Amino acid sequence: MLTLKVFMRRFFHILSFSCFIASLCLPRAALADETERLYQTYGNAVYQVEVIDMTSQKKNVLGSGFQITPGGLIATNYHVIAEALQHPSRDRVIYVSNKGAMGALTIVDVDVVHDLALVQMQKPGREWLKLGSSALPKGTDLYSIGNPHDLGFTIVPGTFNGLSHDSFIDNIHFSGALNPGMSGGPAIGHDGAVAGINVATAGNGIGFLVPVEPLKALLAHYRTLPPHYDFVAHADAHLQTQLLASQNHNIGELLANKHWGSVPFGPVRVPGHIDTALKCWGGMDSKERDPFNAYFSICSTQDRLFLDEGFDTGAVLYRYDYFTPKKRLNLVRFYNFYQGQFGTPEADYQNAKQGDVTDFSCNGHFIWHAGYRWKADFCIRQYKKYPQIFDMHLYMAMVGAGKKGFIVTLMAQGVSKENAIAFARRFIHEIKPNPPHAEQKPPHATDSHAGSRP
Amino acid sequence: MKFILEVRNHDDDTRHFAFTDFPVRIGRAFNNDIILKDPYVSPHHLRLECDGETCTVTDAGSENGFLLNGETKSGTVQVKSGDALRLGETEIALYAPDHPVADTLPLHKDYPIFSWVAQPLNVLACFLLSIVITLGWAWLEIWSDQEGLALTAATAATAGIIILWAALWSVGGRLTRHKAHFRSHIALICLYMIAGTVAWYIEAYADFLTNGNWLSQCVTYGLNFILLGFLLYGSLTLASKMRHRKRVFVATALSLGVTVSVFIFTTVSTRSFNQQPVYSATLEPYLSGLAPTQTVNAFMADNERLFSDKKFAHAIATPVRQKAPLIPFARARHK
Repeated sequence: MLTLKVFMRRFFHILSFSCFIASLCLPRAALADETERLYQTYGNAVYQVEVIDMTSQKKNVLGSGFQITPGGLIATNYHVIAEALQHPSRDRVIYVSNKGAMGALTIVDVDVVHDLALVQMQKPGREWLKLGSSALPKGTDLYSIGNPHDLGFTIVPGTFNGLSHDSFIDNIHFSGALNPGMSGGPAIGHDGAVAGINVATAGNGIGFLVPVEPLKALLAHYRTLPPHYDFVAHADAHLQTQLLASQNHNIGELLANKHWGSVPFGPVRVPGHIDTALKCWGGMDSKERDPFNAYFSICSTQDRLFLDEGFDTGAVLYRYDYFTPKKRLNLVRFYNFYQGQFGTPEADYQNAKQGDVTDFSCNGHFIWHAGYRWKADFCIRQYKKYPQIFDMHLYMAMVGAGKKGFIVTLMAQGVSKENAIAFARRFIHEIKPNPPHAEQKPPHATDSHAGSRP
Repeated sequence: MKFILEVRNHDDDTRHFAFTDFPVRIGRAFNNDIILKDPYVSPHHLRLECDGETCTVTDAGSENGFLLNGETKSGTVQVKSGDALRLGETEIALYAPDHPVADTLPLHKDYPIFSWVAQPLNVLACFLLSIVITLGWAWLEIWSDQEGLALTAATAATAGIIILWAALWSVGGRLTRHKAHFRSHIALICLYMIAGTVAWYIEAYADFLTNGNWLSQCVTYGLNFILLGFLLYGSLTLASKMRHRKRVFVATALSLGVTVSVFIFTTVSTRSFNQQPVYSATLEPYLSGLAPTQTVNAFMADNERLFSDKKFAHAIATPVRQKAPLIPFARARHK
């Protein structure tokens, strides 16, 4: 997130100022002329978007935005105006032009999944940007405009480097120095057409842009809303619809993958790298002096869907932990240690605060699966504003396998009931005996291995 | 004929008067034999006379009259040893010198069960067993390099707690019943610790059977309530002068108080928001082997039911009328 919290401003000033100088010194002379021309031509359509706390009248969030219609519609990032949307009685949104003119903004539509928002100016500006396309050849020059660190309007040259395919949502990989405060600003080509919207930075000149196509779709959606529609009043229901669709898309994509790359790990075979939207890594979790060996493997989505300050969702994570004792830990002691491991979940749920979600409710039981007994716990919590959305947690510990411990963690944030059940069911069924023919079942347990797809 | 009058005023102060000369005049005036400072008693209220073996009480013209053994009387009535008179707020009991008195209450008593437990060998066995249990728990948890030191510390701590507990009760017993029963107290607290360990396993197994629902909560709290009740009852038996009924009452009340406090504290502390899921993580290999097992399908069916938890019913979405679906801006994924 490029949002700049005001309380961090002083802290960032010196550092960001030096970055700013450096980025101005770097470009070649010819490029400098072109950059100047673009800023002169299109810079007037770019605004600073500020969320103001109504009690203290202080800036709470700073970002950028740009006018996209003659009627005064400004596009920005959802995360820039999120606090004003989630707490309309506390915060309001204003714009500041590069000439210093100010005015109030009304939130008229958002796309929380692609981190986009449309806000309406009371008095439209005279200039606006046309929306282009993100279908550009790699290496195309793009110019990102915004107001980094509240320092003043800035144009940053960079290069279009295609789409990043490592998450459920594709963003443009932009090689240019995006900085906090530039969120919501446009990235334009030589013709002034918007190709993307500044959204995030990974530091070291790696930036990310939301492609312009979702913005076009959001504009089209906005035009289907009734005139003078009070979007803020209906925001929760709109956001829930979007979250439901998003998780349907994401979990649906995972479930649609026929092969989950079954890999042997410890005593069983488990799902491997099930989708390119997840990144996997693994290793050893124990130190030399520990009386046990702990190996882990984890796959997780890299980005989160921002909903509000301290509240994000959309993460999918699964993790395996395999424990074997070293010599001096006998079975009884090993189990005590293993139980302690099972008591502290490897997935953390810091993604939501008290006002956002309910407490977890859990169902736990011993189950027979893949030739072993497991203690399985399935927990869910509900989003208070979006009651059809849940965080799901599945935690399974193998028991009775002698001096071997194996814990499976599955976390899916922001999913519907149906997807939580379907994903958990498929995941459990993808845990298979290793080697395959070693599966034993007690006579009373009748398990169906039929693929359970929604 | 000698008669003893036991006079008890409304503050329960008791005085005894012995009389051989009769009549005995009772009243508020200062020329009586027994002067009662009681506003409801007349200056000359009663007269007690004895003639040979029979004694009578005569109302000396009082304002409020008198009661004999709870019944209103007037004029002259016959009284015998053991009768109780009531005049105003004052009670007067009449006793002959040979009137029988209640048996002496024992200050200390030997109870067969405690004297058996208090035999040195039994006490030693209980003590060693509880030390072994503590060592066992500590040994499960500790695998550092200073294993020996940590285990020694755990042993010393347990022994210290046992001895301190027994010593405190013994001091109490020595003061109130003139007998310490130190060994019995040691045995009692050790037995409590042993029983507590057994109860822990019962609780864990109940947890497996019931999936940690209210029933297993009842087992947990119920067992701990009973055990603590027995410990307190035993200690009170040895160290206090209370009668049986009072002991049962006090032990039950204390144990109930502790159990309810723990319950309230637990409930209040779990009522605050918890970001992490709270679930049963007990795996105890020997017990879990006995626990019932489900199929994956049955487990998933239970999980589906979890969504209908009434806790999740607090918010119902307001439907939005949308002309066009907003999401997904489903662009084909590039693979």
